Amino acid sequence: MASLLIKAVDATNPDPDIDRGCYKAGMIVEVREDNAPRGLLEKWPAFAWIHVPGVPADVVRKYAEPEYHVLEIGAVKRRRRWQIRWADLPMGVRNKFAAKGEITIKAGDYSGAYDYLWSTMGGFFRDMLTGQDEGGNL
Amino acid sequence: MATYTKTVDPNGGSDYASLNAWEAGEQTLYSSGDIAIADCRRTGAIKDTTAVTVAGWTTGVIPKIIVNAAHRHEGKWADQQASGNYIYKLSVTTAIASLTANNNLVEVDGLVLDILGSNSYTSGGIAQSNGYSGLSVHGCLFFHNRGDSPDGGATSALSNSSTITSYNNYFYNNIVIGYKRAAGDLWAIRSNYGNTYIYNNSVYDSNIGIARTNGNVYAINNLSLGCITDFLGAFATGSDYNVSSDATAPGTNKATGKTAYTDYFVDPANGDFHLKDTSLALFGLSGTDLSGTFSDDIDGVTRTAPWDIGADQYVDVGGATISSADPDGLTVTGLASADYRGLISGAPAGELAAIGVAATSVKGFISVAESGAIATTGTDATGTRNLISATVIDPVTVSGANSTDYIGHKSIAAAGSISTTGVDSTGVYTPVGSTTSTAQPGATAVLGVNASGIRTLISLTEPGAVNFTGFNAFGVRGLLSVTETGAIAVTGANATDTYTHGEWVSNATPGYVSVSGYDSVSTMIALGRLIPITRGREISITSGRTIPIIH
Repeated sequence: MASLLIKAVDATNPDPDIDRGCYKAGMIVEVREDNAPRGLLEKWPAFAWIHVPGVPADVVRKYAEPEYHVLEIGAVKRRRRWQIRWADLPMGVRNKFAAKGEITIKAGDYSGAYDYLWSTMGGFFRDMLTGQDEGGNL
Repeated sequence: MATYTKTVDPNGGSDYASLNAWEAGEQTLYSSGDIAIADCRRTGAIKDTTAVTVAGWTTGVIPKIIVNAAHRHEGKWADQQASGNYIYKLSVTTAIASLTANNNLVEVDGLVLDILGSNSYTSGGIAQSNGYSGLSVHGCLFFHNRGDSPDGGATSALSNSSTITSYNNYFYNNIVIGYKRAAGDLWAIRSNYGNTYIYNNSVYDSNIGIARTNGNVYAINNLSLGCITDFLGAFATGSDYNVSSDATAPGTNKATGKTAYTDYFVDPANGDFHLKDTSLALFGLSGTDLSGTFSDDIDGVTRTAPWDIGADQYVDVGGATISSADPDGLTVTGLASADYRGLISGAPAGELAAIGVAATSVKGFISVAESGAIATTGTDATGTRNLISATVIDPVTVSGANSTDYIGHKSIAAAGSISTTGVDSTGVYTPVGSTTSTAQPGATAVLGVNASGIRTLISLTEPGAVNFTGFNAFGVRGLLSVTETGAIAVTGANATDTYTHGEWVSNATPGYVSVSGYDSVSTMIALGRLIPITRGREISITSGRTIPIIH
């Protein structure tokens, strides 16, 4: 029921203050419902999609939240608090992205076709605030 | 230096399905001096519900978020334009701000922000933070009105909340409505640091209307009404021409204590904050010319001297196909579009306002409701043709409808008189059994037709005039012209099968009746009750007798 739009390439700026606002590969840009319309440019190689058909969008929406500045309400410290460890993804996953631009993850009570289990992929979602990888179930 | 435009539509078929995705995809594609435009559209019911932060763009690139004219608001709260097109909205529930501009030179034009959050951490509109400059927000609508929350935080619909100095932020032609709650502060428009120019905005029913908390804030031509505090803080020298409901409007030229809200706005209860009249007429104060910065209003209407205060420049006549020659003589012309059938509404005396017609089958319904004004109420039934009702003394002329679908052509030339011309089209008819009437005393009533083949039948009920009824014979065509009170001329009844069948034509004194043109071979006076009379050739009629006159 949820689809995650992932930035698949780094955006960079030589000014480190500005660079904090740049999307990096593996950051979840936004979460949409499975059947939501897509833009024509929202595709590989600029973007990738991760479908989690067994999980409501609201459950995974936290992965698309910014990391806010502690002392200044509303100020964004990092573009996304969570980031998929893009460079660490197994070659098989990277090949699937390169071939199709998307993968499907089995989670929740989903019983249809899938590419990977959440138990395999969840560990690549890292909380950049704590430095801990996701260990929970969806 | 180049301009790169990408389309954004939450309903798909465009480059991106959200502003947020556009921002993520475009932020480092271009070079300094380039302009990157998000051309926002909404071709279906789905709205953009994702908060967007503009940040991390290549230095010197100018990001612009511009709502396409086909999907832009029409200066009031609505989900669709009068044309039926959906209006692009950013409807965000959970973000601190719906749109955060953590980048220099961000421009936003024509966006509707439906702010759905229920507390200070989810209720921000457009916010600039962390020392960025050059934010320009214009032509936007901000609506909150989602109740309150108990926390005591503060946030803003539109703000420069930078913690270090930022420069040259422009907020103009925006409307902010209902930005309030019972506890804490909600600021409709606030500038916290730097140089911010707040021009020609309309704020209503908020906790704090327009606020300066730090920096140089220039507030000119703003309308802030119905807030707990309309203007707050020490504004920069030069702030002037502002209007408030309390006593806080800054400047030398100002109007305060203006609380008759329903007299000022067209329909505030339903989110229409267009002015009912010029700001000079409403508040006793016009604005000053700011055309060095911008020259239009929230609707895109070019501002002309004198400038009105607030986001709306009052326009006394609307609609490209409608003109008014003078306050007492309205002329409606044009109707050139194949689909447009005409729906005209005008509330104030002497004014006209034109609004669109959504239903393709509407053919026009024009009612004159008061002196010098026209009000139109809807007719959306299939097949409805012209129905014209005049209840006023002012002369009204409706002409020029030449499309193939046009049915009927009526001209009201003067008080108490009607002339009907031009009903010569194949499709012209008055539907059987229908009734067209005007209510003005001394005017006319057009009543129904009940026989097949009859095309036009007019009955005049004016006191002292005449009364025609009962043209129920086959083949009667009829062309009636009333030329003056108490006088009737019936002409042109020259069709082969014209005749009257047991009916009568009479006139009441004073005046006379002339019936002419009965030149067809088959014309007859069936019961001898049709009597041509001309002045100077008086004919006496005795009871039960008729005198046919052969021409």
